[in-house]
Parts: sequence; C-alpha cells; structure tokens
Amino acid sequence: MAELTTELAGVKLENPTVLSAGILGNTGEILKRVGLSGAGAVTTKTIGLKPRKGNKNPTVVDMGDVFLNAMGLPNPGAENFVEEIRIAKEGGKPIISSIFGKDAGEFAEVAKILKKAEPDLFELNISCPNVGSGMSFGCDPVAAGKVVEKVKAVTDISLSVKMTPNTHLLVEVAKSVEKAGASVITAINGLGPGMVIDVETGIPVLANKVGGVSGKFVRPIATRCIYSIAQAVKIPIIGVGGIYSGEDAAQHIIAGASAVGIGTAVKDHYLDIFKKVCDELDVILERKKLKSIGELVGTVKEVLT
Amino acid sequence: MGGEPRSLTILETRIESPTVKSFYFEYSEDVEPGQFLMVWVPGVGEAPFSVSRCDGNTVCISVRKAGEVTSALHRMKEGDKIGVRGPFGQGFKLKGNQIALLAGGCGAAPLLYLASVASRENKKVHAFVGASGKDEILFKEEFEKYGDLHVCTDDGSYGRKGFPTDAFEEILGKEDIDAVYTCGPEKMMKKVFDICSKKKIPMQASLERHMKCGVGLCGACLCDGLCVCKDGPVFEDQLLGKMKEFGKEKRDACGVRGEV
Repeated sequence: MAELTTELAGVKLENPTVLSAGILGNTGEILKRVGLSGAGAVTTKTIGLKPRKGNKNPTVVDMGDVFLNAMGLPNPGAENFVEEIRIAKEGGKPIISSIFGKDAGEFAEVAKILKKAEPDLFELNISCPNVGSGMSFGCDPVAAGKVVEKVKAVTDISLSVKMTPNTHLLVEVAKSVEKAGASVITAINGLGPGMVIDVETGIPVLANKVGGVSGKFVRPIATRCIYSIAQAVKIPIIGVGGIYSGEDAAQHIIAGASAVGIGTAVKDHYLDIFKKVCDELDVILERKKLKSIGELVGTVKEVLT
Repeated sequence: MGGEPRSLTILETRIESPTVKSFYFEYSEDVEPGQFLMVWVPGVGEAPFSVSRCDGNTVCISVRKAGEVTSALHRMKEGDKIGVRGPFGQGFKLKGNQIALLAGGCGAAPLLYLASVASRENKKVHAFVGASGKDEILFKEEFEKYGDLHVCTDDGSYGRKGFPTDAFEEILGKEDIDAVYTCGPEKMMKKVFDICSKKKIPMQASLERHMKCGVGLCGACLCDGLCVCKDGPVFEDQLLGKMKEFGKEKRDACGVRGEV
C-alpha cells in the first residue's frame, strides 16, 4: 500500500478524494456517511445567507456520461446549517464548507455565521453556472480577489476558491485569489452552461433552460485548467471534473492537484466511488514505484518538440 | 436505468376518484413495485410518481391533483406527450406468504402494483385502504380481486370509520400475517412501524421527500443520511428504526427541517 495521505493548507486528508460541493451534502448525517464510506474530506452543499429554494424541476438532464444540472443553489441558509456541520464533524473527516453570497460582503456574512461550526476550510463558490450572477466573480480577477479579502477579514479558517472554467482569465483569477490570501484553489466548477431541447415538443428540458455541464467528458478540460493554474500559483489545488477512476484522478494529480473532488460519478458508483478511486490510485502508485501521492503531484513533464 | 426524459404518448387516461387520475403509457424498462419514475410535463415541471399498474410494457401512474405538475397532468388527455425517466430507487421486496398492505390516500398506488404481483405469486393479500370518504376510495375492485379488502374512511361514509391501522390491528390477532407493506401519510406509516416492531413482523415503508434529481446526487430528498431516491423510497424496518427523522421531520425545498 502506497501512502495516500495528502494535505490542504495544513488540513490533513487520509486520502485525496473529496466529495465535491453540491453533491448530496445537505445534511450532517450524509456528510458523515460519505466520510465513513471512504472520502478523504467532504464538501457541504453551497450555503447562502437565507433559505433558498433553487430552481424548479426538471433540475437535471442525465445523458449518461454528460450531465446537466441547474439546481440553482437550494440551501437552508447559514443559520440552519450550523447544526448540520456540527453533526458532520462527528464523522471525523475534514469538512469543507462551501458558501456563496450576492456580493463580497454577503460572502463574509455567511462565513461569519458558519465559522461557529468550525469547518476545516471554507470554499468560496464564485463560479455557479446556474444562477444569474453566479459566475460573475469567477470571471473577474479583481472581484474574485475582493471576495477573498472580505471573507479573510472575518475568519482565520483557510479559504479555497472554486474556479469557473468558463473564462479566458482563468490563470489571472487564480493568481488574484492567491495574492488576496486564498490558501487552496478548487478547479473546476461546471462547464457551460449548456442546453438540452426535447425535440418532440421543442421545449428546453431544464426549467431553468440552461445548466452547468459535468460528467466524464469534462476530465480533459479540467486537467488542462488544473495544469494552467498549477503553473501560475503555489497554493494547493483540489482538482475536480470528470473523475470516475484512479486513472482520471492521477491525471489531475500529475497536472498539479493535491486532492481530487468527485461529483457526478456518485450517480454511477454512489458512495463506493471514493474507495474505488483510492484503490485504483494505489495500484497506479505501485506500478510507478512511488511511495506516496505527494511524489505524483505536479510531475507533468515538459517535452520539447 | 435513468437517462434523459423519453418523450412518450399518453395511451389512455382513467378517472379513479374526484382527485385522482391515471395515465397509461408504453415504457420499455422494467419497473418493480415501489420504484418510481420522474415524469416531466413539458414546460410545466417534473415530479416523481410510483407505478400503480404494469402489464408488459404498459405502465400506469395514478396521480392526485395537488400542485402545479399534477394539475397540469390532470388536464392532459390521450395522445398528449409527457417525458419519463427512470425507474429509480429500491422497490418493495416481496417476502412472506400472508401479507398486509396499508395504504393511506394516493399511497395505494404502489401497493396496488405490489398486490397484483403478490396475488400472481399466490400470496394471501390483506389490503387496508384508507380514504377521506367514499368517493376517494382507490382501486376498490382491483384490491378485492387480489385479496381481502378492508376499507376505512375518515368520515365513516364507507367501510369502517377510522384509520387503516385500526382495522389492521384487529386482523393481526386473527390472521398469521408475516410481512407488512405501507405507503401513505408518514404518521400512519410510523404507526404501522410501531405496531410491527411490537409484534416482530417484518415491514417495509415507502417514504416521500422533496425530490429533485432522482439519481442520488443533489441531496434534496435526504432523510437523515439516507437518500430517499437512491437508498429508498422503500425502506425495511431495520433502517426505518435507525432514522431519527422518520415519522417526525422532513425538509422543504430549501432543505429547512419541518414537521412531517
């Protein structure tokens, strides 16, 4: 067995798999259960200041390897969620608290409430493709940096920033949030948004018409984003996008990720996915005669042509 | 399993009661009793429905008019198009030789399908069907065909006045019931659970929670740490006994806890 432990801003993970934001994480009990089933850390649903219903159904379109969702950030609001994080912590695995706000000040207000539950990390969701202004911070290096500064001013808990791939300023945003004091980067959020139309009726299937795109095919795009970000910043990266196997995870890790977020693959493998990815990563490390995940992180080779 | 909503044509509709209407369509996937389908009314919305009848490829859902989607469905007729995906979740596991079914309101739908399968497998079926009044009794002739039917109404306008659980407790002393299935208001199902734990009879209940994705991703339908769309909707007594929220709490569309 190779050493699968990894670290994110001083937070120790017993393996690099992380339950991504927005997947299942609505209750403390499920976060505990996902931890017990093998995830190295778990991320909560993205929480805002007030209870929010999100979009109407249909909120998902499942095309197998391609998946669209437009949940629209449904959440019970920060005050109600403090208790859920406390329950989740009983599971013993690090808790990443995903948050959003309509502006930098509101991000800080949410963090101020949720810090009472002492999550291990905050993850600032500045990149939701499913709400009107959700991606605007994530596409603007200055605005993204400002969100980090505002939240940092109200808490000592380390911050990660969830990046959108839907910008040509990906690297600039990454550099800006690092400079503003982010300790981790989570990359990437959903692509698009995309649209699926029912041919029979001519009506878009999602009630929100459009939704973030995820699934298997996202992996090469995510790997490229992780690679670009890793070249530009020094802080650790949680690589997210299209991870269904140890091989997928290894690509993100070689590109520069210290941990890997798993989301849509939960649909196919449910909670067994974390152990599956870890087992397969272990085989890869042995095959490559590496003793630990750390020896694989960011080892992508530049070959001159 | 799962997939994009398939556009299907409604083959037939049937009025079951003043508030419940059934819709028949052809569906190529096998659906077990207790599993559910996500039904999309184009341009209106999508909601989960369990199957009430299944004959070869012809599947039927029975829908109580309650919200936006169900009201739109009630306006639909033969030849109209709906989108369907599924089946999803864990259905009823048919055990025992002499079974009791306890239905409250539209909870009779999945139990009707279960009764048809149980009767085909030569199980003795006792159905306890609760309704608000005489007009709202669902699937009376069919339950009578599959076994013994005990009707209970809230207002006493037909059958016994009271809840299905009252009639069930009486029969328990007389018949050797060895498996119990229930679907209906959660307080009723909790009562069934309590009766069965006391008598040590295995039971299963079909839970309802706010459902969004249907595929175990979004977490909207969580009951404690269990995903109703994936781990359920049918749960066996061992798991029900461990659920702190069963019979007590459910979460709204935002995820805020409230009373069931």
